Amino acid sequence: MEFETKSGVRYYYDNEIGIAFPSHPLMEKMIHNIPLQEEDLSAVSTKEDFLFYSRFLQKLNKIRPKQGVPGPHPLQPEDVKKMVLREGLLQMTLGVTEECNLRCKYCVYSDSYSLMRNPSNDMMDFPTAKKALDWYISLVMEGREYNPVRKPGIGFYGGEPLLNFDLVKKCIHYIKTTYPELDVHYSITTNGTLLNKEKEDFLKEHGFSISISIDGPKDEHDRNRVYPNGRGTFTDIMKNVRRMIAGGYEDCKAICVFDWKSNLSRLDAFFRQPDIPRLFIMTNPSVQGGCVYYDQFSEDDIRNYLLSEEKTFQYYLDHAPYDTARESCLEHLYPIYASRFLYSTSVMIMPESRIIPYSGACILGRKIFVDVHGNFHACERINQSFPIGNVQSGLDFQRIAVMMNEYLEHLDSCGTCRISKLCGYCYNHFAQKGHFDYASGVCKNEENRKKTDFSRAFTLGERYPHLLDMAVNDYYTWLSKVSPTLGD
Amino acid sequence: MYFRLNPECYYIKGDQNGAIYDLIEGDIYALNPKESQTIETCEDNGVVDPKDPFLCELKQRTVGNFYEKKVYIEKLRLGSPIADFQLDRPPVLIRAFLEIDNRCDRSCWYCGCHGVSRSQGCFGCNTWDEDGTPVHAPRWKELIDELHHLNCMSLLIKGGDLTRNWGKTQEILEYANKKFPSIFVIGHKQHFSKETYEYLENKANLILQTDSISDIGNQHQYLLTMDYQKSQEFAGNLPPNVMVDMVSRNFDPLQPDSPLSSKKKMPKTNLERFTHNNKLHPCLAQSITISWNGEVLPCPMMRNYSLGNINDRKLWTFFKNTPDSIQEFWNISLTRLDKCGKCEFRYACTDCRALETAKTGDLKSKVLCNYDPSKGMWQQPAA
Repeated sequence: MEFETKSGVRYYYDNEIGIAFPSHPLMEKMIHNIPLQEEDLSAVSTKEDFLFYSRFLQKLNKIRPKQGVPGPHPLQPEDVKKMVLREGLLQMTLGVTEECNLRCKYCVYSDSYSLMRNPSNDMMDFPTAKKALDWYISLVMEGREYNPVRKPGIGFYGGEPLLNFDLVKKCIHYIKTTYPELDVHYSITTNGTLLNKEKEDFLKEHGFSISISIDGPKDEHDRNRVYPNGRGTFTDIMKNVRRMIAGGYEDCKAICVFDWKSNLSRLDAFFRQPDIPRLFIMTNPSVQGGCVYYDQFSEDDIRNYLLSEEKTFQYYLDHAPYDTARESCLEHLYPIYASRFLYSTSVMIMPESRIIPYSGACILGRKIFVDVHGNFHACERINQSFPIGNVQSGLDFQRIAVMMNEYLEHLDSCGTCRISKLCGYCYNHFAQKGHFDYASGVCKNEENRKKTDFSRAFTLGERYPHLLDMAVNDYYTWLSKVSPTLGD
Repeated sequence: MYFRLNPECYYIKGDQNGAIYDLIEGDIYALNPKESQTIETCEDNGVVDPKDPFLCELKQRTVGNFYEKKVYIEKLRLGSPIADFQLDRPPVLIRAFLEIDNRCDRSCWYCGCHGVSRSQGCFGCNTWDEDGTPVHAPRWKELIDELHHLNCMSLLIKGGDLTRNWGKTQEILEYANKKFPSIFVIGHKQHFSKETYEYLENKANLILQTDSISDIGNQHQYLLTMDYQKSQEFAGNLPPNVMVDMVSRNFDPLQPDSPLSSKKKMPKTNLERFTHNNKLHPCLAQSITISWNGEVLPCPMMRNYSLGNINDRKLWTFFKNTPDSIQEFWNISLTRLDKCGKCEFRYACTDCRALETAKTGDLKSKVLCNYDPSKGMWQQPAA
């Protein structure tokens, strides 16, 4: 796949090897085995150039995988169990309540997402939580022979988990008394409105990593993150957050959601303030199946955003502010995003064959999300028609094998995709009610999107040769300490 | 005009000089200070002279190219730099040495029990003057299960003389064959009879130790043991299935062109080795040894560095993120050794901690090397 940067340099992305390199029309003809004409040879400056391209391509062919990407083979439950014990079980997240005191407009549990559940008053009870914890910890203990260095992670989610704070406290107490030898990483995702001093002290005492949803300055944040009566939540949240930061709470980070109406420059300025939590992730509202959230935006909205965003990118290109102590929006949008897609698990020559040869899907069981009724799911984002177990019988490896095999069978167009190694799609993107869509029906316009991503990333790299490596090192060094799953 | 190294070519800076590693062709180009400075300018997208003869030669060798505009060179990598940040990825265990017997009736002059140092003794048989209770077959079988759970890729079963208790050896080997496709059996050529060769066929690869060139055949791999001084003069051509094992009390004196300490010790580079050596020890990493009496060692020849005994604990406990885990040895990358950390060849070079510690007693020493990175010079042979 070819692409160009802002400066007009041409590159070629080689999907089999997983790198992009400076290119030339003559080189591309050689790559595609197109017979060369007289005029092709006169297009290069010198015979040395021609020889260089020819030899460089011969070099690459020495490391090109001989048989291409291996096709998927049916997974068996016993193989799945071994994979989970070895590579999975990074975190169990308890969805302790389906209730929420907010009605954020892009919430996956809102009316904008027909395939996901709606808010309810259901709360997880302690017997359910206890059984889930026991299952998880027993698997982690069994898994020590496969992965001796894994540190178990337990997360709390909702709705708004602080609405069931008593359960959170009971769970921590249960783990500490029943499994005192375990060193556990605790985390919680909250809207921040209910963080009082008592809760803050408890979370601090037990070393919780807190993720708070903050969408930027007041008008940006309050556009989407509102109480049921429509009132914005910014003032209430920031009162709590500023108190926590001033009180020295270190592991408190922000999740920022932005859409076609967001003002990126204002978001960036906001997150550079020292009394705002460090930005953990910048993300868009989910685009999974059944989503109508994006129907509200007009073509003008999108056009205006893109024009503004192009100016923002140019600003970043000219200034490249990189605060290694705390990245803000522009770092997330540009060098961190670029490094994520260039250096993700999909790219580069892999040292061993991959269980899932296409897409960015994980091995099910890498994370476990438990809903209020005690059913296990792959994560909190996938709709609940794909359970992978429950608190009565634990993880269902048979079911996981069936699901993964079905998923792999639906990746019909990936074998010929020119960017398959860069794919960040997962089960969520293909999930409908109880079945998966075919990739050929879901993946639209991905190549063009990736061309833009490449162009941006390489434009940055041309101007600042070491920026992307710096982004990877600084951001991920911090992230590895606060998130067992590196933000997935 | 600009010049950039290709994606597969890495520039590594040393104290005085630098080196370019071509990870596809395997070549390493040693650069003088001026050339190193030129490459550093290039890699920062500095303007260069398109007629620079050094750069033109690099282009001829397809190591880099000239560009009219600044370009971004995405480096060729193995795996994912992001996945590497995940702290609790399971350890990768490539090989385990299982020393299942410590007895032998031979009295080879180069045996470990005589206190000599051997450059490839890990791939040979040895007996040791040590106390302890031998690990019995049931525990070896449990260990094989534990190694299998840890996804260990290959087993190397060694002694002593594995035929002294041939029933035990067979029992362990039969069990290992159910779990491991890659098994090596190591012993002295004189240990094995025709019947044992026939038995071992299709069950294991053999590494046969000998100090006699006439013993060397076409089948199997051989470890040819010879005195260090004699090895300096040995000019024979050996077939690819033969490794040379140099033996000495203390490897003194070290000759400038000794294969242990001169340029000769540097193999070709490649993507796997370069990536590995970036963070891990070139030899100790991803390897574990369990001795005849259950001691867990980083290497069969590092007898004084036991991490504990397998009779008291499960194998996985030796991999925990603690200061006394095997990973503390795996993580001794050459970058962490004082001399090597300043050397531009640190991602290609070999290193034997067993020989170094035998010579100096210091786990972080580096004396078996004739290169001085602070001067950028190899010690020269006497005229």
